[in-house]
Amino acid sequence: MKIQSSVNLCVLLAALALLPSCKGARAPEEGVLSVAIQSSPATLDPRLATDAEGDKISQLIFDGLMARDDDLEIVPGLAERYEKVNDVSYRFFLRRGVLFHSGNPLTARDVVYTYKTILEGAIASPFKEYFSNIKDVVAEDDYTVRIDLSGPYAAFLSLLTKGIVSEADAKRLGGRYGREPVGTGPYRLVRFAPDKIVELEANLNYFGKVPAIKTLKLHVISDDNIRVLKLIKGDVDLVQNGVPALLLKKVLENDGLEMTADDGIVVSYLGMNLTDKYLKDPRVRQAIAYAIDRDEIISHRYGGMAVKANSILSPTNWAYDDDLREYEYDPEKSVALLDEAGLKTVKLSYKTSASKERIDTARMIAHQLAKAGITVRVEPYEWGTFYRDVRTGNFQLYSLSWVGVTEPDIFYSVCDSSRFPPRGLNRSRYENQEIDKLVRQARITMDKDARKEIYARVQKIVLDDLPFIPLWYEKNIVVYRKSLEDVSVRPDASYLTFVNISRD
Amino acid sequence: MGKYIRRRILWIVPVLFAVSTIVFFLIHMIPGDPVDLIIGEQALPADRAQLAHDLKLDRPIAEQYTDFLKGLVTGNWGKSIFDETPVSELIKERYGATLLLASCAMFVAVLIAIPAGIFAAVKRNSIWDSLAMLVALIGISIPNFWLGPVLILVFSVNLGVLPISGRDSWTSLILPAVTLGAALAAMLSRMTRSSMIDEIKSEYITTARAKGLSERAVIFKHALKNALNPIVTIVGLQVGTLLAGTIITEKIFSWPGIGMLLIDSIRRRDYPVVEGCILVISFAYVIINTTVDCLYKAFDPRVKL
Repeated sequence: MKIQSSVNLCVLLAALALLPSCKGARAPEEGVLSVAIQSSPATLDPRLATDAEGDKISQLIFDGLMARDDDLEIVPGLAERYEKVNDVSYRFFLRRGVLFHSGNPLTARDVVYTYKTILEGAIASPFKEYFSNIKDVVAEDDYTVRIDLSGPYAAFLSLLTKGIVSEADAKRLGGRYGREPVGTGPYRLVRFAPDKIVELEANLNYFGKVPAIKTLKLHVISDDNIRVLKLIKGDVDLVQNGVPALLLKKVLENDGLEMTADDGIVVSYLGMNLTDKYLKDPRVRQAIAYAIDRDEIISHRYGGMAVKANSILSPTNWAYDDDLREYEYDPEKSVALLDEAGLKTVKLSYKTSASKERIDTARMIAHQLAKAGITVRVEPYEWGTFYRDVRTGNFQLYSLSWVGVTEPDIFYSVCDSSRFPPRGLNRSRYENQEIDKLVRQARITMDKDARKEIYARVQKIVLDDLPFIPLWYEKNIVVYRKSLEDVSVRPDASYLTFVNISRD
Repeated sequence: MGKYIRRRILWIVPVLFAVSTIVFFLIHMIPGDPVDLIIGEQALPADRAQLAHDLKLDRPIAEQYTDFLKGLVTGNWGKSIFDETPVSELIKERYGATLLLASCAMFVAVLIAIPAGIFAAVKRNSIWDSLAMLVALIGISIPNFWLGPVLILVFSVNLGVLPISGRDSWTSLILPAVTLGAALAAMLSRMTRSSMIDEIKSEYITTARAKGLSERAVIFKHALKNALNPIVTIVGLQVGTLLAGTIITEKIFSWPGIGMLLIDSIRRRDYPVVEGCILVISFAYVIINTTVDCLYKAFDPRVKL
């Protein structure tokens, strides 16, 4: 028996010794850029993708008529130029010789097909409402598209960054198009194994910059710790916004890694229900804003990698107003405002999704509000339940983030009194006639400077009225292997920067 | 025996019917609507209604249930609400990974537990027995979400001998299988030990020894054979549990199994996929339990079925 046990032990040790040894950072795979992403995309069809990963990866596979450059300015994409026929009609001239990854040539019919499938309900696109100002899309010839609007719309060009799909391939693949997308973008899909990997290959016929590293592997690693370990070990080369801020210092002690970070456009906010008996009083809302010590939260929860917010728009946005007020932490002022409102005690519920980060932040805010005499009960809910409650107004306080806000027209959806859910995103049920007038005027003001002035006014009023409290902008953080060159991060954290990356 | 097996197989039908009915109504009762999650907050009521109609979610629940049952009988489990992939295809894609992981975890558990349990029983009340049972106690007490990362730290990061996560080669399977199998190994070894001790104390073992049989023959040919009955029961039950309970391990090791698919589908209210996943898991559970019950007879002819 003793002999047999010893043999078993030896076999086990031998087996371990024979396993491929890879202690320390693994050597990079030749011609491959390995990136860890946090979740699996739900779909890669740009007409349907609303989740962060789906949207970002589809930008690598597809191009829009227009594109956003690294400063988020709108520039030509598949349309090499456009002309404004009149206030409600635009003509776009497509680049010639652009091929879809299947080899089919891009023509005006693909553009018409893309927009019409969204507008006419051939697919259940969440973007239909965004495109609702488009009255008609016409292919004037193979390379010319005319788009007619139902009225002047200043934010129109920003809609056209949505990827153009291949009519022939989308019809051929039907419902599978989201898993087998065919676009014109800098990368083409090699394989998409949900919850495992999205593997892309450089499109060597791309009309723009061809990716320097030919293969891009996006590994789905949902666990924060494992993502970090894989980065340290060299199994992945780069993690964008996926290293928890509090682990950053420790991770960067590793010799082979470095970091680049920049301001982002994701803004966290505290939503408030303005039909609530307490929260309908702006003094109570301001009292809450003064009672939140955002510096403390940014320091403890984000390791300093966030910036206090005072608008939905980030300071990188062209329409951001630099003269906005700040609600600095001032619990005494908070108590005074509640006294002025004639309230001795305020009891509120604070709904949040069940993510650990959200719950922890909610608890910190609740703790801070308690110091100002505002009792808050934190109620975490599973996502579907939480989202339904937010949509139907079944809340007092809740917290969420606005992701990817590049167009100031968002104020129309979020603040106009005609845009209560389900008609819009005015979840706070905020009503202000001046705001309604301004945000509607901004939509039809074509002069950029004039629009900027209107939005400056909008931001000031909204910050005084506080239908929601902007909390902080999270910084975009990329941690990567030192052997990589030209790593950068855009304010919208787009993966398009991967195209520039090369290896030393 | 044959009659018993037939009866047990017939029982599978009402059990699965009950499970599928409960799952169908539960998933439809929980708050949250797939239409909201697909079409977004800003959709027009008409578009919302059209999508609900297209997905057949606007019909009375009884009608939806009848359709669901028809689909079950005809083998048409429908398509994912989100990307129209057939449910059977999604499950096929993922269940293989879960089956592989659960089987290897069970293999690891049995490989460790049974020799350890026998050894502890044979050496009972010795330091070896105490040590084996202490290790078992630790094994039962350590949760997966802690053991997984610790194993990764030791074997992947520090020693660098095994991959951290993913499913790229057979070596990727070792750490998740050990993580998943550890608690089970601990429980099985305790069970094996106590079962073996009961058998070793029996009179027929004394008789066997008196007849001059070697200790090896006494332990392996007589005591172990009879001690296996309760162990097989536990193994059977645990295989079912393993098949349904791999989600934490799958998440830690980025193992693309059915657990991840099920959780994502519940979050997205993808009714057909949730129903399909639960049905497959339940089916496996029922089949394994039925098989285990039938195996009783093989292990112990005294059992009357």
